[in-house]
Amino acid sequence: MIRSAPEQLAREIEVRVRALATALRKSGGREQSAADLAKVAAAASRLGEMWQARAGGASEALDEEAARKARHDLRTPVSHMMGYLELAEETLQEIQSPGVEVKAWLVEIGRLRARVDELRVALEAGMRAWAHERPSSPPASRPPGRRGRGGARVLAVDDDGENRNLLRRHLERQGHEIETAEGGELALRLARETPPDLVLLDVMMPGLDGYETLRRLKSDERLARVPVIMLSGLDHAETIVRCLEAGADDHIPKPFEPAILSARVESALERKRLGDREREHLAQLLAAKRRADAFIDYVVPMGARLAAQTDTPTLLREIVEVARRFTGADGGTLYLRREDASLQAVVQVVESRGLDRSSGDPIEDLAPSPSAQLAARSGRSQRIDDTGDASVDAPRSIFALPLRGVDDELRGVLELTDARAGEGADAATPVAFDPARETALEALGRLAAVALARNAHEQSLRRRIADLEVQIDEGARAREVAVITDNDYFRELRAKATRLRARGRSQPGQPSPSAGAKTKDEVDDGPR
Amino acid sequence: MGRAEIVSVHSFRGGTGKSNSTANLAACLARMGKRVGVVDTDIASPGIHVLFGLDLNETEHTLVDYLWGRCEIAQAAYEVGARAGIEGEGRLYLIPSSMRTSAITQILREGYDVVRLDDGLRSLMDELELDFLFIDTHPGVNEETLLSIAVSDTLLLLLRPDQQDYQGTGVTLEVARMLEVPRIWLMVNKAPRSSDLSALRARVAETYAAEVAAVLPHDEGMLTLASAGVFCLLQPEHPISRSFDEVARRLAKRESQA
Ligand SMILES: Nc1ncnc2c1ncn2[C@@H]1O[C@H](COP(=O)(O)OP(=O)(O)OP(=O)(O)O)[C@@H](O)[C@H]1O
Ligand SMILES: [Mg+2]
Repeated sequence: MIRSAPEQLAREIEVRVRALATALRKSGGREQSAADLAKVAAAASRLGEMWQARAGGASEALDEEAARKARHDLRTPVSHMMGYLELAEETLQEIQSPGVEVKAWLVEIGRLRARVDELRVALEAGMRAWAHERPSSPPASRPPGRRGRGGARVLAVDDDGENRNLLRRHLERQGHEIETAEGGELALRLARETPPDLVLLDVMMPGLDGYETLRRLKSDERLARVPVIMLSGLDHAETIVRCLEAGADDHIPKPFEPAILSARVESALERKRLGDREREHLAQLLAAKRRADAFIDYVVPMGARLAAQTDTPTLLREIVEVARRFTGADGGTLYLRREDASLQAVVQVVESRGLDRSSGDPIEDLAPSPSAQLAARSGRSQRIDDTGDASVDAPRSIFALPLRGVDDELRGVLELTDARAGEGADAATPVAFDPARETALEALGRLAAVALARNAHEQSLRRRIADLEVQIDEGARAREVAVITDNDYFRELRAKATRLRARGRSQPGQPSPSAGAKTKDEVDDGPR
Repeated sequence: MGRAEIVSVHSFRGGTGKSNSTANLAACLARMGKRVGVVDTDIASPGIHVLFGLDLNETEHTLVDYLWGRCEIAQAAYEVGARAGIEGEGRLYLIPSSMRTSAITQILREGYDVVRLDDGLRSLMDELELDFLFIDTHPGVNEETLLSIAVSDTLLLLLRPDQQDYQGTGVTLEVARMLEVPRIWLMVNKAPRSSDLSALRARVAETYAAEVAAVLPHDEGMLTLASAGVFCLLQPEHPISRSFDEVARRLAKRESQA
């Protein structure tokens, strides 16, 4: 069903109601009804203005709250219109034996009520469309084709200047952004510069005609999905079929009915929006599948491999290698967290420089990079797609991954540098790290951290067991004790030791005799 | 006044922390109001004076002068507690050994009368009215260390948790038991940070059937202080300082009962 734009309807109602009010006043004694009708006209005028203002700013998406308020604001005048029309009608119906004039007024009021009803329907339909608008995200980041109703970029192509003007005015009224071209060549150039959301394309044009322009549009990979509506004065079935066969989405005969134009434009845009959403969804599904594949094919087996590695130096090296292989990174540096929370590099591999330091001993001359430190401090992965540093040894792309185990405690940081596409002549050219693999990489980091924690724990257990192992060689001890004790000095010492100790005790407060003490015979008070 | 309690601090091997433990325990007791003497009998490699910040160039007499009969023992005693910040009744006297190389070589070559050492200890206790007399010893077993063990009321045997110390401590312990030292305590020092200290304590106590006074972890702060001061006076709240305090309190309790 094709509807007039709400503001057009409102304007029509306003004009007709004012005329009716004037007629009532002229015939005399109908002041009340005339006043009611004046209120209907005022409401219609207000509504028209509001709708236009709303449509003009439609490229700005409304959030839920604002949309609710706008709906309310628009419904209010409609109900006023209905209410006052009914009042006027009732007043006129009360007239005893009405003349032709009054009957004619009642007929007109009946028609006006039908128009107001039509207006209400059109408004509701228009307002429903707002619900499709995505709230809040800034326009710049919105992908083409996701603009809300009225916010689309339309390219209108017609060799006739007046036609272009008409198209522009109509579509701008609907809140779209219009670019025009007077021929196929320019149209193609403009479209390639910035792909539009919709193309309106005249069939008959000098130079590149509509068919050829359409063909070229559809064979351009970037533009193939932009819907095209053909405009043609030749309303032949043959023309229409030819256009549709060539990939046009719709066809509008010229001269176009504004209502038909806007209806077709909106429905084409809506189809495109749906199609885009569908594709986006599919892309998400594919990305999710790739992530799942990465998990099953790589993260799970590699995690198991790390978990089985009990030799610490080998484990450290493997963590770096596994992650490097997974991302295609040229370099990998593993830092372990020291007790004072600083980072200590223990493995460094940079393939392109033939660097391989992975003995498992601390690499003292390697200070942690800013990215690694940031990853450690924030606990979050740090990705730099392009450092912009062109010096020889400086990495172009960086991915620093904090290694945190199940307890969330930071064990270290793994820094990968210079991801590579890995094929052909560009194999050595660094690229950015694949964001789609981030989750898998983080999972790998967690497994690595768990393996590290497990090894550290095992080592400390082993150390503890060694500490606790108190072994005494009894034979050796007996021999050593014999060497010390099996002599006269010791025997003598032993004989007088108790006396030596007891000497002061039996004479509290007395100056100790310095000589002869050892000969003094004292009572052995025994060990205490 | 009762006779002072003699506490010998000994270990089979060197570097176990004898001097540091002696200084810390002595300081803890002095802080508790006790009158404490510390004798450095490690003539071959004296060192405890460094902990107390005593400059031997300024001292007139040392233990070596006494052993040679050049002075009275009390003349070689220096009060080091006040400068370390010990207030109140407590006193801390140090009887340092000589740092002069010639003196050391001569006395090691000629030896000395260990009985004179013993006599010196007695007069010190009386003249300075000591509650405690600590003897910081030379590691290993020789005549002087045997004497200091023999005259001790308490022997504090230090060891690190490693096989060599375990073996050597077994030897010293048996010797000390033959000398019927009334109280023998083991003290484990420099236990690795990772080790379970209470398990280690239980294991050592069980192996030697002896009392373990404390198990002190290896501590970076202690190491970096490098004997330049008495740890428990500098960091009284540190767990190691608390352990020293605890051992000192147990020593004091024993002494007041005697
Ligand atoms: N718990 C500890 N943690 C870390 N370092 C310690 C600890 N105890 C002692 N040390 C350090 O060990 C070294 C030896 O300590 P100390 O001089 O007290 O031992 P010692 O047994 O007296 O040695 P020596 O046999 O040479 O006389 C010193 O540098 C000291 O700072
Ligand atoms: Mg020492």
